[in-house]
Amino acid sequence: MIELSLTDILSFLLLAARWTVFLSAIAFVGGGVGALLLLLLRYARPRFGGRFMPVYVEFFQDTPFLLQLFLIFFGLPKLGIDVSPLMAATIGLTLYATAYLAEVWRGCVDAIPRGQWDASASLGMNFVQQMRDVILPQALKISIPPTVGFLVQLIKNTAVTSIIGFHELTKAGEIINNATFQPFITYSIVSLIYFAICYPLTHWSRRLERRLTPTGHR
Amino acid sequence: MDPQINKSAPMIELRNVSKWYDSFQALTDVSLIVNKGERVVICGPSGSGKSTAIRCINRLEQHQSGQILVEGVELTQDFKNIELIRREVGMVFQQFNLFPHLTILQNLTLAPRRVRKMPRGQAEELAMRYLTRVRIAEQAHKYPSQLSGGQQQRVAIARALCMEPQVMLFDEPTSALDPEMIKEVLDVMIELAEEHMTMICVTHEMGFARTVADRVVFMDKGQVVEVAPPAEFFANPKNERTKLFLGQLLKH
Repeated sequence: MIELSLTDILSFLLLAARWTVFLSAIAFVGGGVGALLLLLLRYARPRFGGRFMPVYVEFFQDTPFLLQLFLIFFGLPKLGIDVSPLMAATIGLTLYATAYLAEVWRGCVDAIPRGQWDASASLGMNFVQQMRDVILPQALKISIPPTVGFLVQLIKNTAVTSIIGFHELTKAGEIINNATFQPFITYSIVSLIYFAICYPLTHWSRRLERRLTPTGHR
Repeated sequence: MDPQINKSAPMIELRNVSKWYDSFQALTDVSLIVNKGERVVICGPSGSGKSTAIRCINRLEQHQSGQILVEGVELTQDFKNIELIRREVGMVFQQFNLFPHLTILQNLTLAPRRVRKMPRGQAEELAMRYLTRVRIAEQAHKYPSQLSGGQQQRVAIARALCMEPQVMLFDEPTSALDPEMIKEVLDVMIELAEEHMTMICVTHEMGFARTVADRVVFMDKGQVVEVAPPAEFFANPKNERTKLFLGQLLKH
């Protein structure tokens, strides 16, 4: 057992928390772009995109994220592609985020009444114009709570990447615990750091949701 | 392909148009010619295919056989062709379908700016002109949900007019309105008719049909049953189904 000061523990954990934030941010942005592409494909080319998206989404929603991570981390090297824990974590979380965000946003786009498509089409607008000026601005508003909800989920799920040895917050907590044998204090601090990252997001989403509602609009 | 618009052709022509939803046949051999400046009212019981028929004219619904020509240009699968035709065909819907996230003014300027590439100032000028025409200019900076149903429908008419279409399609424009608001919408439509706008209206407002229409089309079970000038249509309907329909209307 090694004696470590609270400051030592805290700084070690906070440095590792940077990787949690970094990984979440990359996966969220990458997943957002991926989801948007899947969605555009689905609505612009229903014959192909409408079939491809559900298959993709089902696969990632109905298998454990840990197994998806194992497939990438242990599977890809067998195919001759060498992946670091960071690489595997990034790819895994991005593919996973793509599936969930695509599904969340599809629900939001589908919630926009058919009349909005009809009216914009009847004015001669093409698909891109309809999406950009009519459908997405309305879908965006209703998508904020579930999207931020998912982001919080994603941040917490980065903890799973500690299993393949990626050095993020949870992994750092494990290292500290192995050195100090003080699981209660260590994991309390780890939890508090996760809370400190996630709570402001939830709070901010509520504020943003209110601001995007035009005055007098239901 | 750049379809040539033929100025001497009828405004709208349907030739033996048929449409199916799976095995249900929604339209059967519908043929109709609407000339420039003509006002046509389509009526019939619910489920008779009236809305489907006019939604086919601007390709909100796709027909499976027959031809639809707008100013002599046939509607095809081609995106460019569909968008070109939609610029010439304005439409007003039962549920108004205003864009709730935009102000009234933005609702009107969106399509002219995006589709016609009109500069913002010019589009706003045009929009204010049409809003004044439908007597709602003072509401320009409000959102649709702040307006009454009748006001929203007048905005919807102005929005369609901003694209300066050759034809206006009305799909039961007064059916979702409270009775006291029907007149303000019909008055705008009557004014439009007096300016010789080519119009096709699906409506249950028989008073409107009587005073405004050049011809009344009666549809039932996806077919055109009878076409006649209103005087003849109401006084002397030829088909049994038309008589039955008019009889039921008069009972109310």
